[in-house]
Amino acid sequence: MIDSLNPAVILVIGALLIPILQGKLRTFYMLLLPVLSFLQLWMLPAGASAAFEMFNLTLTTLHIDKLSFVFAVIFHIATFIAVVYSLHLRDSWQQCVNLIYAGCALGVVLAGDLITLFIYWEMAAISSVFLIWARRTERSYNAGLRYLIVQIVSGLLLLAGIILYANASGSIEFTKLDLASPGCVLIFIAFGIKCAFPLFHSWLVDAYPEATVTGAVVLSAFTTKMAIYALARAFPGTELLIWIGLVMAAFPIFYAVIENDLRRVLTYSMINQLGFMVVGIGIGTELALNGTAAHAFADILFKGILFMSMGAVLLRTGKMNGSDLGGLYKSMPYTTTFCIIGAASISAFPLFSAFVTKSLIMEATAREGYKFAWLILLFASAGVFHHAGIKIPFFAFFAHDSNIRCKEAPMNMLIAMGIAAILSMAIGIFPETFYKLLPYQVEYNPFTVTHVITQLQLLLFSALAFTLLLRTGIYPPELHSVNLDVDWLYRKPGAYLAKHTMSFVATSEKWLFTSIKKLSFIMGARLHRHHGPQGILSKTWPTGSMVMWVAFLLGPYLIFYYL
Amino acid sequence: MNPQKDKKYWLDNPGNINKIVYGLYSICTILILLEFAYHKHINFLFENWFGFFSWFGFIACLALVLLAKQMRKIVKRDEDYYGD
Repeated sequence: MIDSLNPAVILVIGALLIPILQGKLRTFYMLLLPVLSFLQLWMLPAGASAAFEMFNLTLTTLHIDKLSFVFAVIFHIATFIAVVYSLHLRDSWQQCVNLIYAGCALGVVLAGDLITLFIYWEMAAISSVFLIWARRTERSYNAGLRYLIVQIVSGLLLLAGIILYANASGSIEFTKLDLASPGCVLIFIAFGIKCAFPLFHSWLVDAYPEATVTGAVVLSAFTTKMAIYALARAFPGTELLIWIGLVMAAFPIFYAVIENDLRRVLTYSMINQLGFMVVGIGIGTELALNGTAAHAFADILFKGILFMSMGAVLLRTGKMNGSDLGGLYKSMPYTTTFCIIGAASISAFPLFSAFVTKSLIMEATAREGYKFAWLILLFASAGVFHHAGIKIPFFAFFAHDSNIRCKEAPMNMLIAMGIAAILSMAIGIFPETFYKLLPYQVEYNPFTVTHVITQLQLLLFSALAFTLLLRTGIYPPELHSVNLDVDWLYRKPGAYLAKHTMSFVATSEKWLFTSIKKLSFIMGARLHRHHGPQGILSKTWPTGSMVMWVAFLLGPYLIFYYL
Repeated sequence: MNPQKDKKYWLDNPGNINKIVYGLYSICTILILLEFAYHKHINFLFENWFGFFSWFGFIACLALVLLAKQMRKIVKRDEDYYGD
């Protein structure tokens, strides 16, 4: 392998060949690409970096340390799983974009300087929108446009921030930044938009559920997690992040309870999980940052399983609303099983992944003495079991029988879900091995009697609450509806304003043009009168009359001169 | 006739669903009783309150659902509200 070749380049450039390949060769090639790229990552020496000079700037296009390595590994696993999951597609462009997008996200976590980061950041934004547009409906087209605008705004803020920061500090190295300077604040907001900070989150909830079956799976893995990585690298220990993370962990779960579209429930649940990671970054101790990296790793897997199982349901039934589904365990037993494994993993049941990853963040919060934050996270932990752990599998596969009978998911989808499920359980069963991958050396044992029992109490009493609410009929039914969120601001008043601004501009423009037209007509008429064929000024005058007029002027002049 | 449709599943019998629910009740009871059986290692004092994690989980979910239900009154709109 070439010493300084960036694995991201293998994916991005390699993906360009996919559309021209056919049949088995294409399948083989798509599976091979992430494997090759992973081998390259593995063979690169520890602390490898590649740099070159351009316009007096040193660009570090490749920089590997322990933090970027964890993210690079899970990004490869996610890419491979996504390729397997999308093998049934007869849409080579979508498969090509999948890999380009994954490669760009990988480029972000391996970037050593801010310019390289920006380039991959923007490429990831632009390539990802095609995963939404590939659904080829008007609804997804509009959602994709809204998504793209937000992504581009994030990119522009990042660029502005980088320019200010580079001018002030004279460095473009991607390292720990300080929120005191204006450039860094812009960079912070740019990361925050992609990370779905409160009030900046609606692009995620709006767009991901409109993506294609496979697109949502790929999207769920990369954009937000590369933002988590960027925050963890640039702003560890920023206390503001603890409070932002708490809002993210606690608030979206209320929406998740009343949302009908099950993939949208998963996006709310995703913000909730990102909240845990952001709190971890805000605390910033070695244990907390380990927790953030570990939880991002686990989240990509279990959120992947949940999105994959819902994708399989959407593919087979054409429906995604909880109110229309139910009883599918009869038709899709394997998908049901994998979905339950994903649900158990996100809910942090002992022996499943989040039990050993989320607890790192909880423990770090407690050790630093953040009592209130810890209680909110505990509330969010109970809530996540409720809306993702129970609601998703229950309303899709059990609940009332919707009488939908369909085929089981295609084999490639089952294999993809199976890989993710096995890995999720492996993390939960062998945490010691998994912890070795984490950036810092930390002693923590998740399997203490206290932790196992208290966690089971928390979860099973949450289940008890769900059961009682459901049996007494208090539980809010799944309804065909839309729930207003921040995107209302730009989809209703914003759209109204834009529309009326446009019509105002259009009317003024019309008025201006008709006025100019009228004015020029009048001017033309005047010119015509004086200079036209009959115009007094365009007549051919006899020389004699000119002489007469000269004499007429000169005569009085001479007379006055002599007087 | 679709043979899949005729097949009776274990969960189709309401009695079996009751069995699961009673199973859950008994597990919850056991978990509460376990409070007497081990020594808790804690970070905050309130974790030592009897069955803290049990009733916290229960009340958290109750509050979550009831508040979310009220929230529907404010945020719920028709499915074609945005008209796309």
